[in-house]
Amino acid sequence: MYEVDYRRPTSIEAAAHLLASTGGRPLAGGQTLVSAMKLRLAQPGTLVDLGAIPELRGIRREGDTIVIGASMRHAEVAASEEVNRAIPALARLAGGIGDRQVRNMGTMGGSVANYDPAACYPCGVLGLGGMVRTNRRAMPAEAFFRGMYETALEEGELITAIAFPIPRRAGYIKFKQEASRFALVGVFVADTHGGVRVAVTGAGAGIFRATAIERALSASFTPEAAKAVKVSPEGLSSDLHADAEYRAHLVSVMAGRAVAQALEVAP
Amino acid sequence: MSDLSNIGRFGIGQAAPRTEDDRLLRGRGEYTDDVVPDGQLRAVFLRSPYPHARIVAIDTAVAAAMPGVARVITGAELVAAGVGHIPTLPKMPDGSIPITPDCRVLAFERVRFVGEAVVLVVAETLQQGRDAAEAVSVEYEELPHVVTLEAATAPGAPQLCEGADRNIAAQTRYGDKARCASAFAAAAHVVKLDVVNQRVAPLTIEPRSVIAWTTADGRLTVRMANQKPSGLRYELADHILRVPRDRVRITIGDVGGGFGLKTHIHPEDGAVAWAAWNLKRPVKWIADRSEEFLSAVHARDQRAQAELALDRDGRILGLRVRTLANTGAYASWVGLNIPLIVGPMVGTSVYHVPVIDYHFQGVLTNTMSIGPYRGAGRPESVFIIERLVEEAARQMGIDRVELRRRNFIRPEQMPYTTPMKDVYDVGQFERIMDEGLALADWKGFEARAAQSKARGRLRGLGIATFVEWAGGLTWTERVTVEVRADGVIEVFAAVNQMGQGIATTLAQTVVQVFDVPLDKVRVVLGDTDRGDGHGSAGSRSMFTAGSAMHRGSESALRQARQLASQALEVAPDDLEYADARFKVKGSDVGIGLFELVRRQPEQRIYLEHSSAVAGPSWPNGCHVSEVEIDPDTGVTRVVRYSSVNDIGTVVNPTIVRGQLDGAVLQGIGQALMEHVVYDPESGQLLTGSLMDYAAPRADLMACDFINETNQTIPCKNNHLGVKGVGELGTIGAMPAIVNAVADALARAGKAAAAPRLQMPLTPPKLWKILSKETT
Repeated sequence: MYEVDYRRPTSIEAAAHLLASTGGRPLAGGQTLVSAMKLRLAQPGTLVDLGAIPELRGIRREGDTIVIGASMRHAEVAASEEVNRAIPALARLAGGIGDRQVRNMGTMGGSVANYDPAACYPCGVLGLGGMVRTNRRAMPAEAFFRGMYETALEEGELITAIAFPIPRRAGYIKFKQEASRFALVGVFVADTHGGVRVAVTGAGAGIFRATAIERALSASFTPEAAKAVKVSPEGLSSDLHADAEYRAHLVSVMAGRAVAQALEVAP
Repeated sequence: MSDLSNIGRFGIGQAAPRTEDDRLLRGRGEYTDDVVPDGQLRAVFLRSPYPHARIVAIDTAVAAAMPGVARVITGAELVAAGVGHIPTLPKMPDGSIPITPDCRVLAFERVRFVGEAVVLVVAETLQQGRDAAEAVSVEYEELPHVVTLEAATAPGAPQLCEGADRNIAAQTRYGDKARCASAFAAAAHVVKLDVVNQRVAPLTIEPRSVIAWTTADGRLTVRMANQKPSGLRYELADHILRVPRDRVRITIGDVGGGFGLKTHIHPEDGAVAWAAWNLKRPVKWIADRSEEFLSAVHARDQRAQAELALDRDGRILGLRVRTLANTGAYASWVGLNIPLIVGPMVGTSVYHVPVIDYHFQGVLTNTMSIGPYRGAGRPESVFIIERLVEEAARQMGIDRVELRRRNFIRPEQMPYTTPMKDVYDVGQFERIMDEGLALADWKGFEARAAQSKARGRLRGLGIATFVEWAGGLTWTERVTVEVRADGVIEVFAAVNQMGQGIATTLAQTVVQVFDVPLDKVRVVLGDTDRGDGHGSAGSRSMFTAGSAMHRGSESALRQARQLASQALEVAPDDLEYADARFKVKGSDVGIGLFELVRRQPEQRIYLEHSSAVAGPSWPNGCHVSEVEIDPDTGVTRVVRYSSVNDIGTVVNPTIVRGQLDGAVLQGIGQALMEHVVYDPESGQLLTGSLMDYAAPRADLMACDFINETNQTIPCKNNHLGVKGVGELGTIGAMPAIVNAVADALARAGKAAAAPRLQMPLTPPKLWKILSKETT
């Protein structure tokens, strides 16, 4: 790790100001950034720790949405009664990230802002049609996530919360890459009031919606319908762990299993 | 014997809790990194980014002037200072000399693999050292590289060492080529397999760790995580520092896993020792995980073309094996010894094979050097014969258990001389297999397979029967025994503890003789000032040092008996001994052992004892696994694993169980997921962290998992009757798992794919077979 200036503001405004004035990086749970710093792969001059900002915390229901504060840790979301009642698939997603240590430190906002192409949370946000709220605006998932590790966040812009519309039913299944246990392919399926949404993580350079599977599930919300869709490997990742063809195949299989989970939880 | 007075005694055969566990579990262990002498400096290595390059120039001036930097050291500087290189195997069995570049402690003139240590920076703090290392500038001229066996031996491949034709560093041939050819010509059936044993990382939880300092008497103390301190001192003093051996002391504290990785010196250890010796300050180096993947020895990485000839009844007529073994950049002592000399010893395993024809070649490549890892040569050899036998049975339509039965070496053939001219002292292989089949409920498999099928899973059943060679090629160990006036018996051995619990089991051999509670025995290990010996490798510690400890204790007790007979004025034979007390037979007159010691002018009974076992031990086993494959994903799950292991006398059943279980998990790991991968194009290591290198985890045990022992067939080569136990699991698990997957595929109509199965059996690989390949 290189030497770094560490700051811990207590308000969003102060944090935004510090980020703007120092050109520093926001620190949430640190599960990605601190590891990268230890390996000297990241070299922020200033770390602005968001952990002492009360406005970034909390889980509440607002009408037909569940609003989760950006600083909420994975373990907290996984254990939240509110989330488990309204969107059990999201609680399950949070409870399946990393290991216990990661879940006790990592935050939703950190994961979404970092936008690792194999992370779980971005997939949940896209799958549920979540609205990302920042200190400046609110954006739907489609507008928020850009390229790999790239989001719509501007300098000094912080995620404050994400509003998740409560679906009729939803499921999330992650096929783990054996070493990292990140998603080799993860699929979030949600039967929402705006239609069926199927979001995929791990399979490509970024998350995406599997529209062919969405169409199939709109006609028949069954595991068989999802599994029967042949996904094209074009544009998907090939690496040490799996080629694009295998990943494409897994998208259908995991979608089918996510549907089965959705049906099991809310028949 | 369920005598209440024996509680706390814990002699041979009892499940004594490990004496170190309480301390380790409470975080009170003392690993090398926990040793922090005043004025300690930290070492940081700058490593090669290229697989093969000429070092044109190194500029250390900027780095040397940076804050906190004590010294920046290059390979050229060490060569000028007369620092030597790590010794390799001096001679092959046929008298030829291995051809390899010298493995220096810092690269000199050329780098030969990505991650090779090039410059050592020694600084006050780790951060200062890292900052300075980044400021060193090295100019390289890239050279052509090869990382795979195929590329290294291909025509026109770059030659990595002068004189190494096709990059062959060394070779061995065994058997009778002509006679074997006749056997194959007469065979009713020949099975041919291309068998890859992929490169893996030993992956200890504690990384390599070393701290060195000089003492007032001008000697160098090197404290490190190592399994063979005496061997390490020889390598360091005689070959690298080139100083008299008595000027160097090696000490070992707690070690967080060895698995063979820590049996020999690594270049970094030598560089750190030299730095401390010259700076006259303590210098510490703790490898980080990336450094472990880059520059701690890797293991296996062999490719064999293997052929088995059988008659029409399935009796084996001959075995032919052609193996290329990747040695990595530097063909080391063990890097040649393991694949070319040790592995072949168990090539025919538990089977009577009339004739063999082996040719093994060690191949230089631009990768990290190959070294020992749990099993070291035997997993590779046993995997080959077990895959051949499995395929022979399938192809010939003979039941695989029956085929094994027809070929086992029989108990009445013992002692049995193998085609390699090794001698098995004992072995009842068919009996062990029958016990293994019973434990596995082999006959109940079909019912379980039907249940799996109902759930959409493909179930497979796999077996491996095998023998392993244990003992480490050195049969002598030296111990000391001191019965002290303070009521403690202190013993020393040169074997070492790296998590396997040898201190406890050594103490149990002492308890067995002296009849004292276990906590009265203090075991001292890991200090070359206390004595020399061979150390811990090849599953030899209990077998050799345990035998020596038991004999040494008996000898000390005989000495005590003489002294007691003088004290009590009776003949020694008139004394009986129990509960740490000599008593005159038929009377109440007696003297306690420690009271006797207190009466001695030296206040102790002390002896040094050296004894040798008569030869190796040949532990063997039958391992059975059941797997379920998910045809939708290709995921293989181990659902049942059981084994029966003939390991002779068991000193501590709990420790033995831990040894078996842990090694089985490592074997399953290699079978299903582990693989060190270099990119052939760039020569870069692709699996440089635990994010990309899949290691087995404890959840693999969450199935019917049971590893048992048969203790009724004692080894005849040592008086305790013990056999090595630590490596059986890795050896048995690989073929047991792969054969189970092959079986599942065959049952799914994919028998044609079975012979081509290569580890690791990852989900994409199996899905491709299941979804694409036709029978």
